Amino acid sequence: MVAVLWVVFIPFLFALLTPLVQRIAGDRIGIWGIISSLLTFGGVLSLANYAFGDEPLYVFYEWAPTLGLSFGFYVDGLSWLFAFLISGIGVLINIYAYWYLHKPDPFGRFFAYLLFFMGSMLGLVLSSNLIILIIFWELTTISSFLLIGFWHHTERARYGAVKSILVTSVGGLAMIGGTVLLTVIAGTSEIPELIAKAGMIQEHALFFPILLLILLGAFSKSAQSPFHIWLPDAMEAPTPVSAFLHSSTMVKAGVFLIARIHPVFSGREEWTLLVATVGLITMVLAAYYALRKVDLKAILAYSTVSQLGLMIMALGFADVLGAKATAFHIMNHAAFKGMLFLVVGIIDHETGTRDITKLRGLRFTMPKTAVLAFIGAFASAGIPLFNGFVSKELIFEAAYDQIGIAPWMSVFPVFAVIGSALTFAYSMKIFFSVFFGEESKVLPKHPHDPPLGMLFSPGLLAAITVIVGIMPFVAENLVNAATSAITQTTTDFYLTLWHGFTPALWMSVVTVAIGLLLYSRKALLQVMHSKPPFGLTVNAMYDWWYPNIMVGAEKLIGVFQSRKLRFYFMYILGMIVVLCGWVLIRDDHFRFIPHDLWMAETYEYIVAVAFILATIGVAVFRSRLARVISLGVVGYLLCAIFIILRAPDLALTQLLVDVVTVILFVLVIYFLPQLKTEKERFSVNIRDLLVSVITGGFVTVFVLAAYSHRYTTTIAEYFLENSYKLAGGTNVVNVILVDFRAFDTLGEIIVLAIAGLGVYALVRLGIRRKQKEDSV
Amino acid sequence: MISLILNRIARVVVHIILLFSIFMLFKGHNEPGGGFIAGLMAAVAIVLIYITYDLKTVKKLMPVSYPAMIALGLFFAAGTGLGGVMLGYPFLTQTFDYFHIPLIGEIELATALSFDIGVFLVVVGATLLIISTLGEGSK
Repeated sequence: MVAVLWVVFIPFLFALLTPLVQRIAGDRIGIWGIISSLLTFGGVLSLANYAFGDEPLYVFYEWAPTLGLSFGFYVDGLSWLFAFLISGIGVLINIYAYWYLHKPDPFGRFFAYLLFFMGSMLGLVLSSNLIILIIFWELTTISSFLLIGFWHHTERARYGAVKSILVTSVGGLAMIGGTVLLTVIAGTSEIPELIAKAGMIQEHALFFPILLLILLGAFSKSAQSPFHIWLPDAMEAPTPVSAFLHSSTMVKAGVFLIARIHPVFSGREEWTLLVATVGLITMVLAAYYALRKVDLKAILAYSTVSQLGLMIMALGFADVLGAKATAFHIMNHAAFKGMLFLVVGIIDHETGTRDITKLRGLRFTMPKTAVLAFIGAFASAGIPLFNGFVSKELIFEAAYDQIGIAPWMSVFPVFAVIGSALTFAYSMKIFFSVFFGEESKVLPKHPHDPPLGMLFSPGLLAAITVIVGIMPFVAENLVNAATSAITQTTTDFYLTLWHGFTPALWMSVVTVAIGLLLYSRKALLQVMHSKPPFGLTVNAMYDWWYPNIMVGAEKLIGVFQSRKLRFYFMYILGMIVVLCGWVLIRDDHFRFIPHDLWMAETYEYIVAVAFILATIGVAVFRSRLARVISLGVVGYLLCAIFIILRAPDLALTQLLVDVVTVILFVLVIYFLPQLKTEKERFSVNIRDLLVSVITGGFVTVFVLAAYSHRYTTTIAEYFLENSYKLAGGTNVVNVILVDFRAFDTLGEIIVLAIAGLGVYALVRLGIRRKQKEDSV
Repeated sequence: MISLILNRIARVVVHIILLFSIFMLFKGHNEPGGGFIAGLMAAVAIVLIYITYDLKTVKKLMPVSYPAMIALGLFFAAGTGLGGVMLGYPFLTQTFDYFHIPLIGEIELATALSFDIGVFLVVVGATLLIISTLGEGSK
């Protein structure tokens, strides 16, 4: 149980402590990242028995029970598989990044972001509650924004970061809507309970909207068409980030979500129609784009999009085989694609370019890297003896099985072959055009194999790729555990390299044949120079939409954020009148019992008269200082009223707040230039007067109405009765603040903190800007 | 504008106010007081130094970073809430108990106090941060 908390919070804790540790560790801060990821990985391993045993682990903490919110973790085969990949590859990425980063890069920030991301991702896959899952989901969005924009001095990086956060947030918003609807109809947001209620949910009239909204979130995160546009631009991130986020973890969050909700939603036709079709379209389109690209990272980006499409298509098949194929391919893809990214990182690092038109003949100068690239490319192409082959076979098999369900579904095996043939072609392109041919003379740097530290991570992944490719049964337990979790049935599959002469094998043969044709020089050139059918227009749409939405937002905000204090006050006062007035009218509270209103002591009258005089003074005095003092008098008189009414806490607070405000005012005014009071137009004055009179009049009526109702029971009695019994305090005001309504107080001090920091930041920024201007 | 009278009085009064504010903080659960009031009071005491002397003196007497103080306060308040979660209660569940300490006698300890200390720190930190930044910025 503790292990789950450990796994989720260790990365966050280490990320928070990174700035402190960096003071000691300096440039070797990478070791801190490695330690943290190793600790997390160890935690995940210790959870293995829940994935492979019979009972999943389900930990549950109450968070805000009155809102029906809880904080829970759920470890079964599926979440464990993901946690294993995230933490395992996390270790390798941390090791690789330690060698990859260069001196001017802020190392500490990089590793803090990376750990922040890792924690969010682990929280996402281990959450038992959809609401909590969304919170972690958005945390991954934020951390990936920071990582993509890590080299924020370049314009492309900023563009890519903004694009990724906007596109995935749009999907995320839709997903929140879907989740809220789902929670409302099912009465719970706990995933295990939702699975138990799957029948009811599938019968509900809102089934389709919910499914659509949640899938929008998953598709945008997993870069499915037409949301795929953000992933290629996200390649501006440092390569370890691309390898981690954009091949093996974050983009798989969508796949994870679809697998997680698979038992809740699958079974209806809409599921296959939406999930499998979108996956199919994405797979083929993205593979085609990948073939057209010349930048190695762009090829890999589109290749990832395409492979994610393949997985999502298989998940859409709604049968056990599809789930199994996906579970297996998730692992394999993480291994070979993660490795390919790392290899591209090495090539970029050592040669200074990623352009395949410039890279040639690297097999002479970078033999070790060439071996790794060979393994990665062949696994990606789906060639026997590499892991990609086995899982791709399974997906073919699942796709072939669909023909039996409905005739139109034969599009799945057909396009699966076409997509895979394109995949074959670009995989070959990556390997042969970079490592074969004559040695290039135009490279920015003289290439050679990287240090061992950079070869370790891709090397290990390559070993896994080959081992799983030759002996697929080593992954059997894990795949079975994940499949059982996706389909909620116990499965007992065997994974073998050789299936006999099945339709799937013939599909593989056809794939290779078409792939070879495509790879032939002439076809390749044709593809690369052909006009894309419509994919680019999505990008064009984004580029049109982005500046326009910014302008629109600014206009919209300008409507109610006038930057004039007077208007803000008007909004606030107006809302008080409207809302409180509405309640008064709705509940028919306009009843007044005026007979004892005038029974007050003489000194109360004196205070009241002074109060009125001071208030008038605030409005009529010319000098600022006099106004402030007058306002102070109002405050102190209010304080006197509190004392008369025997409310010492309020009186004390009022007194102190007043002292602080007067000091603040004097401070500000003392240094302000003596500007002339603006002559306001008559209409403006009338308007302000009207607002004041209405507000004042309304508050008077409101207070009188409330006073007339004082004989009915109020919440005050509850507090008076329970303050000592439940909270052990006799000062009811304080007990309400720190106990009964502690959550409000927490909110208030957070606001106070933000206000303080805001003033600090704004004034400091102003000073710095002024200094800069002065020095220029 | 250094006034001799203010100067002399402030030296004495500041200590009393600060002491009293801490008194207010600790007895707030049962009598008038509490983190918010105590925080404002402590802030006022320090502002008194600022008015009598200047920001430099304040910084010399209290060499702390106000943003860090705010952060620490939020950490206390939120940490109190999370403490309950760790023990399996909802967020911000408070509890209390009575202890007998020799010489002092019966005292009550409540988790609400640690929450209140958080409030205290945030209030002091934010108030002083705003006043000192404005004071510095307007020069």
